[in-house]
Amino acid sequence: MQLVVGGVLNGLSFGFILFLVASGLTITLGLMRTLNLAQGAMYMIGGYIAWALAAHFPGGFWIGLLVSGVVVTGIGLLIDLLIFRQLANDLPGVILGTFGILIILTNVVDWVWNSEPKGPAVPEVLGGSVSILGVHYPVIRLSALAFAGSLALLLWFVQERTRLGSLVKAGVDDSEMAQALGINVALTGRVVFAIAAFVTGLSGAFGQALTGLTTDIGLTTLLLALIVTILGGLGSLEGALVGSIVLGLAQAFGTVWFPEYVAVVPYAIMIVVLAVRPTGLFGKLHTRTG
Amino acid sequence: MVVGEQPALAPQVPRRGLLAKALSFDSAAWVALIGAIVVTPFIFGNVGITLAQEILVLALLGVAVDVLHGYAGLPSFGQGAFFGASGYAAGELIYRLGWDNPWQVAVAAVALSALLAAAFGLIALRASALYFLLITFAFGQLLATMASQFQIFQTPGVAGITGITFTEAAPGVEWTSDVVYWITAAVTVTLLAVLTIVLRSPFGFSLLAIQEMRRRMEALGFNTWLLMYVAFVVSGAIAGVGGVLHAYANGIAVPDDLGVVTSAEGLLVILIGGSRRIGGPVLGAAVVVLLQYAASFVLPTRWPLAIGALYVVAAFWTKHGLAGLIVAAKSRATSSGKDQHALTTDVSTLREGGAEADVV
Amino acid sequence: MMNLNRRVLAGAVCALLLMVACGGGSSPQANGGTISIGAILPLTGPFSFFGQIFLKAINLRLKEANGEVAGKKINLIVADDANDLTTAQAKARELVENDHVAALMGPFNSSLLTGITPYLKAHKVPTIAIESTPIEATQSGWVFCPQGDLAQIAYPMGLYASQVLHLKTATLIAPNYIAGWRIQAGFTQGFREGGGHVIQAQWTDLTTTDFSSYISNLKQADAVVSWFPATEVTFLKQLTVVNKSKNLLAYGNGLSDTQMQQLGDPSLGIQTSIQYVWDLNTPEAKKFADQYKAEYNTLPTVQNDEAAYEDLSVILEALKSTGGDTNPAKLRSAILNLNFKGPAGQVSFDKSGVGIRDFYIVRVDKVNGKLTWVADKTYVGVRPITKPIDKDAIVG
Repeated sequence: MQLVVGGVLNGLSFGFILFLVASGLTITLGLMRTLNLAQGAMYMIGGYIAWALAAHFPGGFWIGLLVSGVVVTGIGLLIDLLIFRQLANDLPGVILGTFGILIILTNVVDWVWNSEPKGPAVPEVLGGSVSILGVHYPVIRLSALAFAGSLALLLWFVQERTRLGSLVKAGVDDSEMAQALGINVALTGRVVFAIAAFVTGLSGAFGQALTGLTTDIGLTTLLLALIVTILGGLGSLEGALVGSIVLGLAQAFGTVWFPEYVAVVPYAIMIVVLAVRPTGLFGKLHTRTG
Repeated sequence: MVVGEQPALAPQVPRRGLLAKALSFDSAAWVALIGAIVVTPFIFGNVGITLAQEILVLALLGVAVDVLHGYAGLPSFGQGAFFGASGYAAGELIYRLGWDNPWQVAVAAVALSALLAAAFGLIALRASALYFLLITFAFGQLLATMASQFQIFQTPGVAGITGITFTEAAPGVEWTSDVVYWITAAVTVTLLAVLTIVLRSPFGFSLLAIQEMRRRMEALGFNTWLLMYVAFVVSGAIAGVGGVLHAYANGIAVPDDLGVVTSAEGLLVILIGGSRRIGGPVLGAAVVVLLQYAASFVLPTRWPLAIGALYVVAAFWTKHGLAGLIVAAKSRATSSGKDQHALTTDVSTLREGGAEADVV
Repeated sequence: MMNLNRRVLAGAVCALLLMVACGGGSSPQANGGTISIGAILPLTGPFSFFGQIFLKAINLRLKEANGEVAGKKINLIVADDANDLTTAQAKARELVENDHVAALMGPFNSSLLTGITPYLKAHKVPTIAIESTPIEATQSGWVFCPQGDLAQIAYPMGLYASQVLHLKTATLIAPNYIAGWRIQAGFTQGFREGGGHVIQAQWTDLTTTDFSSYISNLKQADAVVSWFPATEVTFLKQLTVVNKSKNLLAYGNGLSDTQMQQLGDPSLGIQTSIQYVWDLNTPEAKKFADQYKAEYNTLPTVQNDEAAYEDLSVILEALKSTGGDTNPAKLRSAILNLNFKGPAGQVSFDKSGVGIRDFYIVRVDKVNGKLTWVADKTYVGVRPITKPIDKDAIVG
């Protein structure tokens, strides 16, 4: 029982944080038909900045959340300006450009903070544990769950109940038709990308309090987010959410049931899903274009 | 690849024999390539051999990526999978089965890569360029993860397979790094020559045409899926050749050979050196390898930054690549009216991937 | 037409020449008044912070020797392995075949060292491992490990836990690769000798820093014994929020002083086994600490600060005893015959080249308001463990 409760909570808290990163990736893919390989690096920057503030200033964690969000949004805008706009239809160019930014950001982080792993910087008020169904569980993980969960809800609300959301859905569903109807899909994409950057920064800031920081999370986070995106379906928030939760739970229970293979589990799940539904769980993109 | 767009019409090209077509401008490039290969060990010694070896192997990877990207219009971010798989196959054959014949091992390893491509191609080819990119990326990383997690892919205590070496290259010829270099050089030059011919043949042109006029091609009776599938398998095999030579040169197979960094390098090579150009992959590979080498002297602890910068620069410099620049300069020099026209068309349709005449 | 291509070719050749001239292989002769010594360090990549620490230690030792040994000038060549096996192999080849190094230090990552050991053996290059290695690496005869083998370094902690702390049960956790297996095997061997037994052993994914599932899965035992090469701080932080059991580190290089401050008070009382403590009450330790402080304006508080210093010492002492003769066989036997006292205590080698040395059980305590390791007990002359317990035989 203890294992199940712990596993579910672990899986959900990890999953929701992952969702925040994956959501940005999937919407960018679905709406702008382009891929930002630096998304994981943005998560990493958010983490390091928040950590730097949280570890050295009292109250730094909360300031850190905001600062991370802003800084990462700035990075996102730069990527948009320098890469997406300049290389509009050039997918390989965008791939290489954002990959280069991933490498640069990773090495900048190494330069500023060195590559020694950093311990989680948890604000004191969230530093204890509570008893849930007989299990001692860290408050910080519950807070992460609540925080990321609320953000997820907010994103869903924006998608389903606001004008921006309907623009996004239209753009993902049928970009040409949307443009024919006068919707500025490109501008919508840009706005959404900025929002996604902010959310990614926030998730990095909170995530560091759970798992600490290393210099390779730029790439590892990207890989997980990508797997979630593929198996959830490009352009689908619901898909990203389901995918993240499934991955989170699989990771949490996998470490107990098949510890030696847990690293391969996300890929295995992705393959199984693709075998059944080639476009991912909620995928809307047509399989062939042109 | 937007539906309904009219492709640019290709200018009329005088018909020439395949061989002649393939080797015309390029004769100078071939001379340069073979010259550089032969001269390097004598001028630059061991360091030169190591670097030249890396360049040739990376060029092969680049060619593999180009077959898919430049010709079939499928940007793959996972050719590392096939590059690394053959290296691992070679390693396992030697380490676990005790094979000691480099030719047998190479053939088996490349065959495995091709088979892997044949299997994976069935899944990967369902999709648009974007989806294809993601899927190939995931596949390469899946293999890399398996290689670093599962002990069956490791020599004990090592994150990889070591001992990829042989006693003899041929009866009486000891297996040394020099011998490996010459083998690599011979194989690479031969393969490049063969591919040049193949890609300038109707097969190559069909691939190009699929990029832009897929529905028309199908209406004309071409089995476009099959053409792309063949390209995918061929690409996997070429990457496999590169991978096996890489493993032979280093004596090692590591998980990174399979993953995104290797795959990205393949794409980088093509974008810097030039897609669909003879010498493009070699030039691109030379830039990547030499820059990395130079950077490690100039920035001993920060050279990866230079690599990152190279990627960003390459992203913008994707119009023609180095080889394209050379072609353009050459055409200006000869200033033939027909060439100019072809070049203009060529340049303007390069991004849209129009059916290109490759007139030079 | 031909002009352009010739120009291109010429340009390429010039560029190539330039590149090589900038860097490439110098070949100092070992017996021309200069001795070349190589060091393969992780200057980039995830262990770059270790690489910098080792570089500092090596440079300090070099300075102390005034850049010469046995009347000859030392030419130290440092190469970056980028934590990549292919790169490590290439750099080893360059150092051995182009630079003709008399001896080598590193690579640090024992997986890389094991990978290039066949090459080192074939070319008879005396190599000093930086930090511990699996026992197999030393069986080649050309790799020496003064810091001890992976099982040996955790053995004292196991002994102490059962014999002095009187703990009966332990649950182990470490990453799932050879270093993790061997370190925990060493702990287990010592623990069993004192009457304890291991009730659980978890092997984590290599790159993860989310230990929540492993922590949820911990069985109740007298102590949680962990080892992670650099992420102890993250594990301990996640652990101490929900688990108040006794925490031991099977081996202590995974928690630096900086990280201790990040962990804060939960780190108090954590104990581990280590080869070096900076405030040992010996003249050698004091001298080293003073020199380090004078050169780098900080105290050498962590194991890693001393390891590479000791490694270069081994090479230099051996060269002193051969009178500057770099003949591999002579150098090899000189190393095996060494018996010297360094900042970490007495160091000698067993017949296969693994260090026999003292280990210190240390504990985290506050000294002048700052958290740091404090020595509790010394185990003198700990010997290598030639047959470590198999990973699957640890529990029970």
